[in-house]
Amino acid sequence: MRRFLVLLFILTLFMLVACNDSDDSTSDVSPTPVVTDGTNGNDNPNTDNPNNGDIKNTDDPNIDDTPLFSLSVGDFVVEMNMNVEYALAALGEPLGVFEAPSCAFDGVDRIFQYQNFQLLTYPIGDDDFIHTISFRNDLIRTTEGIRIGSSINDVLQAYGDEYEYDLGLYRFIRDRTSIEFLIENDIVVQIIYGYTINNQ
Amino acid sequence: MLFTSFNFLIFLAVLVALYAITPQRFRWFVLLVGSMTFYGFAGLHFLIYINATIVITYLCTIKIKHLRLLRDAEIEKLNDLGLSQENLKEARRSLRDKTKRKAKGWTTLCLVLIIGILATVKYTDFAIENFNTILRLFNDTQQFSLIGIAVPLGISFYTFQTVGYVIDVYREKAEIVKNPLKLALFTSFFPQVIQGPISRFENLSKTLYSGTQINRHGLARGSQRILWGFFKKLVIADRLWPALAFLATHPEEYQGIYYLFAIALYAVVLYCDFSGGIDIAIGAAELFGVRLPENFNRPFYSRSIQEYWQRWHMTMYSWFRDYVFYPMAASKRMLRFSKASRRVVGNNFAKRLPVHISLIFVWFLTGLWHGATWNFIMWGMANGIVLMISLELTPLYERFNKHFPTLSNEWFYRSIQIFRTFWLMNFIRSFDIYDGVKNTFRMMWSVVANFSLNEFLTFGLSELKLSTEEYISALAGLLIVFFVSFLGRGDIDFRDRLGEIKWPLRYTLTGVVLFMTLVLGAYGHGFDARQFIYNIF
Amino acid sequence: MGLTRGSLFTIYFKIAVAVIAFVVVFFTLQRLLVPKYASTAIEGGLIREYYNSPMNHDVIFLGDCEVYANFSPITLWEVYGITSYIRGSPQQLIWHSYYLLEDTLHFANVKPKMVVLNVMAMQYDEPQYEPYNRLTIDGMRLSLIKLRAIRSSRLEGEDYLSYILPFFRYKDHWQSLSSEDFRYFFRNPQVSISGFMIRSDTVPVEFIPDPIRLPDYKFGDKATHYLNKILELTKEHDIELVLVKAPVLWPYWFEQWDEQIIAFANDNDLLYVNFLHHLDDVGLDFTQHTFNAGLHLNVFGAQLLSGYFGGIISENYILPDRREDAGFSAYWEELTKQYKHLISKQLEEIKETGSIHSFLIK
Repeated sequence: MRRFLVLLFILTLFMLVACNDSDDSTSDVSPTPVVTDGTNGNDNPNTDNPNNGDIKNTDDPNIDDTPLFSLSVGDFVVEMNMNVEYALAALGEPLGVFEAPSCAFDGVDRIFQYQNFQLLTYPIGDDDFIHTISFRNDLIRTTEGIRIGSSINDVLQAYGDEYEYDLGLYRFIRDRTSIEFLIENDIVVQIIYGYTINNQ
Repeated sequence: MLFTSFNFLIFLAVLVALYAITPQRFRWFVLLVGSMTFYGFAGLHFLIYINATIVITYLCTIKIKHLRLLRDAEIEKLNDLGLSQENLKEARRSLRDKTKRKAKGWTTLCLVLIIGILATVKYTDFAIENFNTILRLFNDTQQFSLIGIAVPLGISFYTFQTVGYVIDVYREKAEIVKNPLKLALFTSFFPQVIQGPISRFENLSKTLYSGTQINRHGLARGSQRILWGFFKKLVIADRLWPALAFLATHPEEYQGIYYLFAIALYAVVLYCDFSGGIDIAIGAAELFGVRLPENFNRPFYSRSIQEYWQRWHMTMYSWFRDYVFYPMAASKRMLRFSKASRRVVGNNFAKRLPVHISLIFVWFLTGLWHGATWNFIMWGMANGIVLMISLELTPLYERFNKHFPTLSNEWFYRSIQIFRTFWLMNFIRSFDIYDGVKNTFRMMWSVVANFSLNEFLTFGLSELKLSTEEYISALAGLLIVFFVSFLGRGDIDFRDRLGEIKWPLRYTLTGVVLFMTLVLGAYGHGFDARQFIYNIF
Repeated sequence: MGLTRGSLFTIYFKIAVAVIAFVVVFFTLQRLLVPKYASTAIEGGLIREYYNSPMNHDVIFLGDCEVYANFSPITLWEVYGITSYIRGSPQQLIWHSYYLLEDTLHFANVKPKMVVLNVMAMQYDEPQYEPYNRLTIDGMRLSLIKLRAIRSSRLEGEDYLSYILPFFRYKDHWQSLSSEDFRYFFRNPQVSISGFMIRSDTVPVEFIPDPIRLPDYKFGDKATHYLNKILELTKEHDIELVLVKAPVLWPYWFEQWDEQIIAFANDNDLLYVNFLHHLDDVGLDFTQHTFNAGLHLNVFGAQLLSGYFGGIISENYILPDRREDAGFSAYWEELTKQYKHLISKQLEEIKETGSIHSFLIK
């Protein structure tokens, strides 16, 4: 009887074991915790409040020397993860500003709509940083010369053949920045610049 | 499976229950199954390494056992040959020497193989990196790529524990285990496989295979010890870790006084993390009536570096002392070297030379054992050098003590010694914290070159990823640790002192520690009200 | 040497005292540490309030803020005598809605006759954000239904234990404890009227940006699966299912999504009302009837919408008019009083200070 009760108890315990991920370390745990494991403490821009108004959210985007995706608007270069204040100062007042509650941050996401494109931002503290640029029409081109209406061949010629593909969407990635082309009937119908925020 | 996880507690509970319903003679087998299961959670492929070590050790030691049995049988036969006493003695000695030589051969083979496994998985990439560096120094453009072998859980610990067993077998200090599964249990016993303590077979075997029935006393004491380990790890070590990690990865911004804070913080975090893990290991073993050796004995009360290493990671220190230092220092080769060097360094120093060389070598190995980086080696060498200097200064200390015979009993003098030792060890441990030897020295230098007092007075500790409440909770935990260490003064187990208190108060104190661990422990999601804001209101 | 009976008793007594003390302290701490949702993220209080109601509503709304901000049960009561409850919560996903429906059917004293499902959440095919899972699931009573809801909604890192014993989720709240944690220790604040959250302020819409096209508009398998489960469950219990799309200007509702809902409704003979196509009929003016520039209606917009919607469902379905029933009347009059009191209080605050400070019913 005692053994039966114990077995029942064991069975109950098995049911309590969480089946989500474990955080096992598979490495030999030396008695001195390895502090210097090569991680850059700037890996998380969301917790690093970027120096209150600095041009970029403190980050270390460049692992290698490849230039990141950015958009030239006239003489001004809109960089991903840039503080939107700098863009607004250079580009002037947008046609409209829309605010939507941020699902992931304390604050609101904003959309700044210009004639030819939109800037979408996420908040960190009192500042907003650009995470998406979306083209509105074919009057603007990417830095590499592609516009809405370009052909898929133009895209591949300009960006190469290392991309991710999903349901008509061609995504080119450089570190945390990306550029996506939505292709329908071999023609570009949408262009979006993206930036991967740390908790995504 | 992390020690400080819900899964581990469930695992323990299941194992205790299974152990309890198993007949006594099979209980050790339950522990073996549990240990292999625990190890398998880290990765099934890692089981290959530990079992390879077990198989090699078993085969070699069984061979030694056969050799000895053969020897004893031959000696028995000699008695019947009617030899003279002198010839009999000679014959016996010859047989013993021959067996010893063969046993030495098998021991050496065994050690080469099992240490070889450790060296291969842990140090191959380190060797390649250094070889590449040498090639670059000679302007050779060829570079070899790293292999990237995943290091099996606890390989340093179980290998050393097994090496100790093999050497003890050779020295005829440990009984040879006939049952390979029992040897497997000794090697893989789950509470100690991750981070020690490193046990000696002659001690551990007394309780490991006895199948002691689960009893109230063992459960209570074991649980208390486990709770204490959880408390130290979760409330103090894991809570303070983000601040330490931040300081370690931002050396350019946080220097001088922040460096001093970092190394003191590291002392606290390392002690609470490591000794907390050992508490959990010892407590878990106690549930099954198995006694593991202590690994820490109030190390921050040490008055000298020698004393420190007899109180900190005690089993590692004694292992290196018994299996490397003593054999090396007392070896014939070392004595010959010492003799030969008299002409160069003088008689007195020549006598101490074996000790110094062995010391440096042992600490080089200790550093290397901790990790395959130059930082760890430097850390080891720093310890060795300081110990060496300390030894050389012994006559000076003796003269001082002669002049002031009662001083060493004065509390203020003891306090100075404790303070000095604490900070000396903190500086040596810097190599653990910062990336690169050069960086570490730069940080040490920053104490004079860039003390950063203004920054500290302006920002304090506010930008180190911890809130004021978290600092306070860790501090509260630390005060309790001090109180408990005070309870444990005179080398008495603090649980025995606790046992002297009346049960309502005793239960209340335990409850306070339990709830402090549950509430203040650094685990789970953390709570930030801003995450829940939907921004509709 | 064995234990005597006396010493055995002492041991059991000590263990009993220890266990009881642990349980009492644990659950006291748990109650203290769980968020009360009295000032921050008060939407977190929505789901749990259902169990304080008579649980005898004829109409149940399911969905996210597009239901709990936009439909007024008081209007449905006053104009049509329809009793309703909104089982909505922030970013409530389709599977959340399904399990909340199961939960309602399990605990309700009287089964509803109609379920109104807002379809906005069909665009999500995966769990999104852990805190929002919490805001929806924490309020559910512990049951197998809740466990199944957890299983469907879990993100990596979430575990059952912290849902069953929320102490383990909110233990770090000790760092931000405030007076409201003590004030609401024994009772929760009331944040809604029959699941509806009242906003009397107005922030007119100024600008709605262009939407960003999607590569694929097809609803995901998981969302579709749970939509079908909701349909099956309503059929099984002989409950009418009505699909709606609330009239909000953002997030953008694509035509391609609308087409899929229309097709689903047609295939299953369901009524589907996309209020975005009925703005004029409802009489909505986004310079007056929204409190956050077109994202949600304010109470005045909600009243208009509910009046219009009540007309549709009254015409198409037989729903009892409970206004003559004394039991219902007394309860709903009390609710109406609370509703009107909060609206006037909020309007007073807007007049005096320019913004609302009172959000709680009590």
